[in-house]
Amino acid sequence: MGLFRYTLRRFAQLVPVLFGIVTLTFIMMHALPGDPVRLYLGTEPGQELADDLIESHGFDRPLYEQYFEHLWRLVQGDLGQSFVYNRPVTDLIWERMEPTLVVMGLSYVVALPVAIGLGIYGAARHNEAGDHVSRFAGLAGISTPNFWLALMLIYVMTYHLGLLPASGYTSPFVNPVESAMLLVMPVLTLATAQTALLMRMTRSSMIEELRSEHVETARAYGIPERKIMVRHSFRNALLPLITIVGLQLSTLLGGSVIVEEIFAIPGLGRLFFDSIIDQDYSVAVGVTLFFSTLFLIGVVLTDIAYAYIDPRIKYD
Amino acid sequence: MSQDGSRVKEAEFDARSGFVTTLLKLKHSPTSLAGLGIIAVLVLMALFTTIDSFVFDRAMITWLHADPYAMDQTMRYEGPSREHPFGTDRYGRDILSRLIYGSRTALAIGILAVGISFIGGIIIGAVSAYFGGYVDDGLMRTVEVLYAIPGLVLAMIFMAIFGPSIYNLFIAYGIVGIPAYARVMRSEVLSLRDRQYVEAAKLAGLPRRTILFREIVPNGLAPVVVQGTLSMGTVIIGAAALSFLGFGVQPPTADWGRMLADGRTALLVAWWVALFPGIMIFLTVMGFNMLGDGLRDVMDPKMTVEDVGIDDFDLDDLPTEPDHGYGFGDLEDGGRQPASTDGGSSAPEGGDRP
Amino acid sequence: MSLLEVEDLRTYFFTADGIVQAVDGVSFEVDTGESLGIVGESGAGKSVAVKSIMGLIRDPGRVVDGSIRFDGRELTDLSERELRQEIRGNEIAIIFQDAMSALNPVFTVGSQIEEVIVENTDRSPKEARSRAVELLDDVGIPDPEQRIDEYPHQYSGGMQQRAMIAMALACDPRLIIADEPTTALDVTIQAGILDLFDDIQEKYETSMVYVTHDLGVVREVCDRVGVMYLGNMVECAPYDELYRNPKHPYTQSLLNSVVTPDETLDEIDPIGGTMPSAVSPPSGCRFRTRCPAAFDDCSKATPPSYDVGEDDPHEVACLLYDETVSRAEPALHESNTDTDPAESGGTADD
Repeated sequence: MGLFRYTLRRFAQLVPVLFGIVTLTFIMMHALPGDPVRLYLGTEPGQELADDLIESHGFDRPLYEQYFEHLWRLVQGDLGQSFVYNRPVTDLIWERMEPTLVVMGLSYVVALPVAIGLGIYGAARHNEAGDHVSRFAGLAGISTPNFWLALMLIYVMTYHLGLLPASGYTSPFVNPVESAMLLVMPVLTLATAQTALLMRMTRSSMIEELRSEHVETARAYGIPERKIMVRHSFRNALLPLITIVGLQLSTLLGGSVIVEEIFAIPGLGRLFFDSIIDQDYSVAVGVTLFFSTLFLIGVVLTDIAYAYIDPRIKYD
Repeated sequence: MSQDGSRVKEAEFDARSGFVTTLLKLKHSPTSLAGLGIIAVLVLMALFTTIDSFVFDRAMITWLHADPYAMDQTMRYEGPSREHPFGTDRYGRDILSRLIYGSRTALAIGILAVGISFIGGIIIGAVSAYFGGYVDDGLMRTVEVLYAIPGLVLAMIFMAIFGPSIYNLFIAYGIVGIPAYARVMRSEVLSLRDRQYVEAAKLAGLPRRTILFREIVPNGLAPVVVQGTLSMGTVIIGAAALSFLGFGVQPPTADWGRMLADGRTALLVAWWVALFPGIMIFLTVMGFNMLGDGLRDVMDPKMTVEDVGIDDFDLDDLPTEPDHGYGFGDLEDGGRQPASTDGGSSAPEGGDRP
Repeated sequence: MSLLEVEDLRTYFFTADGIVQAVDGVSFEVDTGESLGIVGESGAGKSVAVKSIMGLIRDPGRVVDGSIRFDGRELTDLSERELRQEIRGNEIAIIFQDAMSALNPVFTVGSQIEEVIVENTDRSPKEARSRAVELLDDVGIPDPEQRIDEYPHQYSGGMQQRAMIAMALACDPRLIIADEPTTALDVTIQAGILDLFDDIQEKYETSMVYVTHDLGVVREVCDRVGVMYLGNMVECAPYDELYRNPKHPYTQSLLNSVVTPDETLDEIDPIGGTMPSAVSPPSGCRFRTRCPAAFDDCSKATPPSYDVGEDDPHEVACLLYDETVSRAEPALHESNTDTDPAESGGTADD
């Protein structure tokens, strides 16, 4: 019961933030340089055609009217029209969603178990050689620029060893083998910093838990060390980790722009990149809005997971 | 008024001396010392570059090694050699010299962007926490809005609006970073707001602005400084990413991100063009992260005995006839950590965004 | 025969600031069914001493010397595994000061008690549960059937400590160590917990070591009292004897600084100075820097224990009770706040 109400409340709290994001993106759209009408029609448009377009899109009306219409269209799920593709932005986002979600999802799948395993290992061997090595590796991991890592991977794997294709995307639901070959490098690129960060987080919160008084109690009552690690510490240490997993969604979404650009993956990041280059701003703003919403939902979901594990939350 | 003045000084003094003691503790941490070393070398490189380019018009580096901007079509994509240890790029420019010159750009972006986030975040966080109510709600919602947009995406839109230039890059990453600092500062001020010296200042009739920025903020700076050191690396990577994608530093300015973009096109024929700038970015970021890690450890009261174990002592060396030292020894906490003393001493780990 | 015999226990912490000699040569005994109180200021090493018994000292701390015999068995020789399987929880149980943090917030109270039972006995999980309900009932938790499935944060402070006591009783230990179990509680709730300790001792016939800085609490639950100062046990005697006839200057000052209803504040005699650091404690008797009766010999060596009791043993570690040492008779009950120690390397700053 408590959890259900908590869920509702957290989602309700999203509304003002979403409203703020919509407003901000609206301002961005109008601040971005370039005249979409000219862009769409080419260099020498007929004046009537331009007027038509301006009127049909409401560009001639006062900003506040445009703002309310923008809101009204958003409520109806209309993100506007792409001038480059001449199609609704929602359709484009829908089409390009799969590769982005696949790459991001897989990098979580790779990062989480490795990070948790190494983090627990580091905490268990605190201040021993193994811990120092994993701690250093963690630092190195968060210090590696992912775009450089991608280039180095391509150089070694594709140019040097000829093992993996350097660019492109095939859906794993269509051709799993080819897809896997294509996904190795993008996922590694995205997952490295991710793994390192989550590992550091796991390690430090595990160390803190292992020093906590309730762990001392468990030791004082003859609970075996293995059980203390797995049952008494990890569940508690999971709490800060869950929060970070949610917050890292933002980093991954940003990273998808780079990774999809480098590996020529037709996903949302690539769509965003192209739209900025092409000055196709309704697409750029639409993707931004979509990314932020995805991030906010992710954060709320992790908050709910947190509340599910930590009984102190839901009854407050 | 003179009384008030002395109080203010005292508070500042407290904050500063505490910080200096903390810094001195860093010498027990080899990791942060190594980080500090890397940063020192970079700062020296950047200083050299600045003097060289503004005073000597690149004469010094040309004399020492090679002009980073001199093109030589006969030397395109030369591999590493004695003359060009890191090779040359597609215009025949020496990569080592360009790397040295790039340190100035990287550090400038890091310091200025972090500076903007730092000051902006402190003001927003402090005002938000101190005044509370609608001010707090309004500011924090705004910060959440900024936070919800992926950093790189926000920075790219910003660069598209204001045009790609190194100055806009500072501002873009400065703004992107504000939310994280604002949150840390806010939680610090919330915990300091009801301290006695703040009450005293209120009773003395100091204006609210003075109380906030002279009494409270200096005492809550430590975690924000840690956040600053740790996010320095993130900002440098982020700015390099923007330049890499063509939205940041524009040619011909020597910039590591930009050089990596060149390296990408030449990857098949000249691996060195991409390898070395990446290593420079990596080392720089590593330096800041190592220092930040050490700073966080020494500032966290739970970590003070971290690297001291029994092995560091010779048991035969136990003092038999000890000196007369009288201090405040709290034995019972010698082994146990002071648990539950801090509700959220805001370990700034999570908020990293590129 | 004594159930627990601690002899010359030394527990040091190896920290960046130096070696903290938290417990330095402490000896005491606890008989079967007996209840020993250990009192002292915070920082005297009481907690460290009792945690050493169970082998709960963690890095950077270590028991460097001494012997701990429990029922004739030398505990310092046991491995971590043997301690865990044979001692902790089922022979000796400990109750910590802050029950709120001693209980794991993410598990129900019941599941934590059940786990201890299952881990230390042959009982099945089902039996463990009914035993846990019984225990909660025993320690005075209302509706144990329902409350067993609640989380620690849903319990009040006093109930959390009762739950801890239930956990301590779970495997019928022969010795219960209570480390300042009522310090964090309100006075009224404290009284209830102290009554509970009395009842438990009667019902379960366990021995008990009760650590506290509150002499009033000791009167409620303890037969005998040991007084600790800066890692040393300075005096140990039956409660009434110690209270009526304190021998060690530290105990005397300690008793003088307790406020009783028939005293006014003027009559209270606080102990002058602060406790020196345990990293570099004073040589010889550690109390001499604050002792009103200190004389030259006090700095020479750690004073041995003298039995000055008439019927029961009354041990005191102070050279004043050594007949072979000659000295001027000190004025023991004089106010000592403005009396500087006769010989000292410097006064404690206060």
